Amino acid sequence: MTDDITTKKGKSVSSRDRVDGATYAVVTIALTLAVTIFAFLFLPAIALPMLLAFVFVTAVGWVTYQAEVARILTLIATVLTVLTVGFITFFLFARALPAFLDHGLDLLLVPEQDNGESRWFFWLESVLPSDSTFWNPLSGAYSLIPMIWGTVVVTIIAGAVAGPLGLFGALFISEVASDRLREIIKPGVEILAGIPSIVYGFIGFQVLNGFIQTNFLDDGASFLIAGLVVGVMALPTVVSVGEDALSSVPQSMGDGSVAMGATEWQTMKSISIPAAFSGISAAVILGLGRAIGETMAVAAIMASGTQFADPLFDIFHANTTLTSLIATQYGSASESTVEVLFVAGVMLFVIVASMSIVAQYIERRMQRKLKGQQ
Amino acid sequence: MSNSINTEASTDTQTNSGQTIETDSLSTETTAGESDERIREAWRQYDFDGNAKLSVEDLNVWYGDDHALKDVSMEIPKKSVTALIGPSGCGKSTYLRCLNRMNDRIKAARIDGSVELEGTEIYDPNANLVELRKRIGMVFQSPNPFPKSIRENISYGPRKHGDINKGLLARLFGRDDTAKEGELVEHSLKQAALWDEVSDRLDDNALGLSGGQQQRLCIARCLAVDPEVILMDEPASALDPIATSKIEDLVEELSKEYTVVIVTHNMQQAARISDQTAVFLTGGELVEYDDTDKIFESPESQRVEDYITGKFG
Amino acid sequence: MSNAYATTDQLVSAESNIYDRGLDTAIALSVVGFMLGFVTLVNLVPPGASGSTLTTAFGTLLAVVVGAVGITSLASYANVVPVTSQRVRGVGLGLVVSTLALTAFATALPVTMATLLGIMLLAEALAITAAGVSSRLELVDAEPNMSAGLLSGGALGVIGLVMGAAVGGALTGFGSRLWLGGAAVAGVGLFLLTILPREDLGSTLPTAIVVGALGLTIVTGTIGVGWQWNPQTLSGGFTGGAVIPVFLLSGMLLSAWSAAKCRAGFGARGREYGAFLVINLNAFLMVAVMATIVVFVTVKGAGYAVHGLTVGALTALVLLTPALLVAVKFARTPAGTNDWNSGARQLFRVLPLAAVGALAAMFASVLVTGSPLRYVYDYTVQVNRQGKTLDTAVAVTPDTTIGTLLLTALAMVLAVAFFRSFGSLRKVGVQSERARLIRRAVPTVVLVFVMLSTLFLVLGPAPFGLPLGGTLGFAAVVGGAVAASGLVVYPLAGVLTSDEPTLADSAQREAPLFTLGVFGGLGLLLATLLLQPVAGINPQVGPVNLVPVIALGAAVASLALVALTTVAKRSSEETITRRVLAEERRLGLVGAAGFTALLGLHVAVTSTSFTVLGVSVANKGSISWPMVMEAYIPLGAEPGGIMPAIIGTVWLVIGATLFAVPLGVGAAVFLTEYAEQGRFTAVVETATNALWSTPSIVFGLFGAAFLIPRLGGDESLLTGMLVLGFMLLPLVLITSRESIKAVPDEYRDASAALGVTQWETIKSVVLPAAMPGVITGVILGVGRIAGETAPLILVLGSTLNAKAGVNVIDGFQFVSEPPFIVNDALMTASASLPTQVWAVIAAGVSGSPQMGWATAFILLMVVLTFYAVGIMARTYFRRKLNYE
Repeated sequence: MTDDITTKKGKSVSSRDRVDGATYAVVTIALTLAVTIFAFLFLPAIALPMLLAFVFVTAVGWVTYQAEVARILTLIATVLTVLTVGFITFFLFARALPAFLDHGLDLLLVPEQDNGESRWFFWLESVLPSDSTFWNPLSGAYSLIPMIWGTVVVTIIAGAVAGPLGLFGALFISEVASDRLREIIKPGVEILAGIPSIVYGFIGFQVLNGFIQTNFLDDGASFLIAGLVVGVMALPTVVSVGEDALSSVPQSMGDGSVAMGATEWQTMKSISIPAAFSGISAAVILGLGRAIGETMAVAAIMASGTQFADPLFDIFHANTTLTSLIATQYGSASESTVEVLFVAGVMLFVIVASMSIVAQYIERRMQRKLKGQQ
Repeated sequence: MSNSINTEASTDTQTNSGQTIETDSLSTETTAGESDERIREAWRQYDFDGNAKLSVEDLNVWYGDDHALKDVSMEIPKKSVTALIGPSGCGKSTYLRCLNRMNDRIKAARIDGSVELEGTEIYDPNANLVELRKRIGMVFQSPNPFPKSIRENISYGPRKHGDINKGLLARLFGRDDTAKEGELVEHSLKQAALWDEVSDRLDDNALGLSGGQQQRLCIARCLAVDPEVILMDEPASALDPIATSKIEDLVEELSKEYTVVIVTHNMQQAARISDQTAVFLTGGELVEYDDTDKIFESPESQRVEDYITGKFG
Repeated sequence: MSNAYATTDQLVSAESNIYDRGLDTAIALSVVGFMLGFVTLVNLVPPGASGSTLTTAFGTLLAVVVGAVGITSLASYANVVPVTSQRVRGVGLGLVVSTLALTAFATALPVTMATLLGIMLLAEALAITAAGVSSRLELVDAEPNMSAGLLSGGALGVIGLVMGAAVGGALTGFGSRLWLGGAAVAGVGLFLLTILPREDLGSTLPTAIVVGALGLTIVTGTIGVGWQWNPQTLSGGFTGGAVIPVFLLSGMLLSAWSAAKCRAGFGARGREYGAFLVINLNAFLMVAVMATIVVFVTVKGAGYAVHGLTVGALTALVLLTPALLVAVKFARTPAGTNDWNSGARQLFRVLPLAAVGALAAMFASVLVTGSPLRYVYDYTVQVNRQGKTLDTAVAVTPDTTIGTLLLTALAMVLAVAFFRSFGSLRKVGVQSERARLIRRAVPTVVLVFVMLSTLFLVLGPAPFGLPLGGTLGFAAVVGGAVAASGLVVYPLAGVLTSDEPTLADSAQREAPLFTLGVFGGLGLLLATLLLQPVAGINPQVGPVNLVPVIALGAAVASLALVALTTVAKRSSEETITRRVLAEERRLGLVGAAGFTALLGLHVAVTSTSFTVLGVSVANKGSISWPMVMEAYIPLGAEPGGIMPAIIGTVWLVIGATLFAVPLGVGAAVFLTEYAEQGRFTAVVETATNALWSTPSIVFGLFGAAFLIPRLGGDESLLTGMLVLGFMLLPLVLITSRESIKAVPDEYRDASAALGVTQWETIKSVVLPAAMPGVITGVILGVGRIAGETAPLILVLGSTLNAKAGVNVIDGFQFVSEPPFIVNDALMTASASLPTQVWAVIAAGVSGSPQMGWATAFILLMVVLTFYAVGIMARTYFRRKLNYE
């Protein structure tokens, strides 16, 4: 880069000055930004002036060395994005740590009984004693077990709704529907995904709870309704990811099958679905992840209850899930309760993030397989 | 006061009117002159000995607003090789896919006209597509074996048609056709000149074969259903010269028993292997259809001559 | 080997006969039953309905079916929409026949809905049995396989298990475990019955048994309307109201599948038809659920949401302008070349124009007659936990006031739209010396005005005690305005007085004046206009307010230019002249819209309304929409609205977008263009994807743990913005990356081959090409975060009864100590639409459900609008890419 460049007019321009100047600009920008971030982390009061300084330095640099500054800015954007992920992970764990240290495994155990022993949960006993208190911040009972169970039940019901319906929906869009119909239904499914969860929650709160009272003899909120609603909410995710997987199977494969006189349904069963199988399972996993993380609809439909269902499969029971626990308890929680809520947050984060990573892995493997074929 | 007007008035309108001009010139070309009409009448009456396997009349295809195939009529004789040639985008592949209604899979396509297979209209609303495609098989441009074993690839069609039964239920009913399947696989692979190369690895995944082998596997797969007509859409375009010559030999061999319709953009190939040739030119028109020798030696239409001699492509 | 598999089947199957028609009717009946199951499930018609309720319900159904089938068959008969498939025709006829029969039953017999549904199930069972048996006896043509297959066997086996368990349990009680025996017997029995006989019996008899059993339980009243089952162990139970619809949905799905198999003659094609029918019914169910949700929220919320909405007719007309232009543009697009459907297409393309035109005529009639259009209805308000009914009306009044904000914004949008379609008129026409002089003078004058404005802005209207604003400023404004008007009129005069033979020629000759007149006039007038408030003047010449009059005059003059060029274009033959004239016309439109915008801007900056011919442009317009323009009045007679929440949501979205978009796009550029594709990019990609699916409440926790302590210790608007920004970030990154990746490498290579640096390539080739995808992604992402609630509960706070919206712009203040700039508005809690709905839920019985529905409705509309715009933009850009 330090070679001299001879222009047409014969003048010799040294690029050394330019490179040095650019280096200074880039280094200054990076430094001011680093200081800004440190200031924000440890001395928030001076973060804003530092940010202004950064903006000023960047603006000056932009005018003089646009290409280099643009490059460092995109790098900074990347670093900040990565930092965001890092910060989220770090701060969640950091805030949850005291609760881990204080309570340890108690968070996952049935609280102490009269004989002073805490017990592992339900695989030892088919029905848990309903008199032990699982969650009572005042007396220091912090067991997340009922909430975990609530999350599991809601997710299972949601999966039972979203899985098969989603698969059929994806088949319909990618294989059965005519082009015009697909142009209507595909955006329709996306819009269904866009309905805010609080709207679902409000419908559940106002209407479905009454519906279940008259039709299922229940006193209101229940796993069944929450699970059905969350299932409908997870449905678009399953449909659109599954549809992507199905339509990434090369058209020529299906053509080959149909040209031999196989029906479209035989083609779907023996060619498209097996080839897209991993993509479809990724879709279901992502849908389940969505169901686990769903907060507002669940919180609106069943906001209270911290005891186990009895028997465990009682789908008419209601208690909070991990997400709705955080949403409903955070506002009025004491410091030590907040820490336990962060433990719940960490659980959600780890579970859903790992589901997403697994789904991505499966999808990538499938893409590679389909590409390798061609 | 020079009254100079610069044409750089507006990029926007320029492109617009540019398009108009283009379509105008195109339409003058496509609404053929009277001499063209006369020639067309001449080849429409193209006569061959024996009866037609497929007869096509006034076939039109639209993709949305795009008129991809215009008023094509031709009769394809039995047990012969018919080549469809023409520049790319002239609608020859579209035409081929109309012959076994593969265009039904492209949902934006609209087809108008008539195609008869031995006198039976295949575009009848009550047509049995399964039966139709059993009788008119197809081999595609790039080899598309299923991600299954070679054996399963061959027996796929008969199994789907219930001619070969395998599995738990078949054994339960005592109708297990494993032996029959073996015969069929061997016969089809021999017909496609692939048996010697793969006989010892029939249970390997078909995706492990080379391109040429894959294409012959696809032909074998098509033969296993025992069709009457085989449609081939540039079957050798993705292959190297050796594999191509193998496919060409195979086509010649097949024409003894089957009616073969083959799309190619390679004129030498068409001249080598076909009995009659149809030339499509831009805009989805069938310009001339006759004996291959006649087409390559003394075509009626000037446009076809230009195309064949390479003046126009 | 040929003829080894003799082709016994016909290529074209025979015309359908009575057997086929019967099965078509059975399928149609199943479809009707499936829909009725859905209808009873959502209690549109309760299962206990009988008598006139039932008759009305079936009458409606009959009308709908006959209408739909009738129109379709008419269209088919007229060959507009040719329906050739025998099966579709048969099912259509079957729909009419079965709904007719059902209606007749409902009218003639004293039955309840539930009984009728049970009878339908029984009829299905009989039809399927008959079809299966007649196929087995070879009375009809069919190609059945030797068995229905393990898949069907398994499915029916599971159904048998469930039903056996239910029956066994009901007979013997669940305590004795005998129900297990019942389940096993029924399950295995159905499984064997399915797989052992030939396919025609195997796929009909078991389904007929199941469907028949379901029907019998309902008809005999074993499970009737008042039926209840409340197991001791569960906290809830089952009632007929829930079980009967579920029976219907599953029974009809099963019988539709079976009947479809029979209809297509079993075998491969039968299985295909059956499967497709089930898939289609499932899709129908999905769409029905979606539509139900949206319609339900609309029905519940719309009445309250638009209470007291009034619009002045003129304002309504102004609002219609963009719609009108879009409709015109849509109508002008070519209708396709083939004659087959061009007539229908033309009709379709003109329809929106006709609709907008009709609306416009309606509003205009209000203006002419002076009598308002009113739609009167009542709605309920919660006062002291009591529902209270209030009357209200949605009205279009003959008010001729136009709000300046609306006028300016719309006119600006139009001006920009016209300007975008305008190309260039450079080097066209005759370059006169005078024009060149003016072209040099205008920027100088504008610069002087800007300097004057700056002077007044810094020193005030009366610097050093000298009344400069009133004198110098006044003179400048008058002079500038007059000059601007001169500029605009000049080309008109030039064209009309020119000595060229035709109008077209003279218009072409004077082209430079057009550009100068419109752009120069706009610039000069804008500079003049902005001088007024800083100099504290608003010159009046006699009774006339100078600047707006000139703006109006200029707009009229521009329209005159449009008219002139249109006339000239009509008469001209030459292509180039016509092209130039088209450009000039667009320029005229830019001028008309631009000067109108300036007129609005004048009213805004001087706060003096402007009236001409009874039409006035004022700061306060004639739209009154209490729900979105007022704050909530908790205990008042009028309920007010949710203005603070709307403003809060707007600010949240703006803040989140400002944070996430630069970061996301920048990172996407780095990852795609600069970074080596390898492990690092893969890890970042995985991490961002994982971040995208992270539960929103976790983001809330993060905001609470990380941002709140650092930003000032409490819930605040700024934290909400940043948290939503964090949520938006991964989506922006993912979609931007995808669209940057989609830019073909040839573009980059071509640019690099010309010696362009990497950054220049990115800036001028890659980013413009990727922009549509990025924009679409951002719009869809914004739609999602606009409705996000969970994190906001934790970091934004929630105020149900805020009196006023946050005022972010006026909130900025400079202080002398770090951090030097503070903004209290950003640092306080705020209302927002989603938290407003949550607040109603959290308030429990003391919350106003009507308010909640209305808020939910508005939230839904806001979010769906974002989605609709995003999806439409994507379709538009995709088409553009594909076709050009």
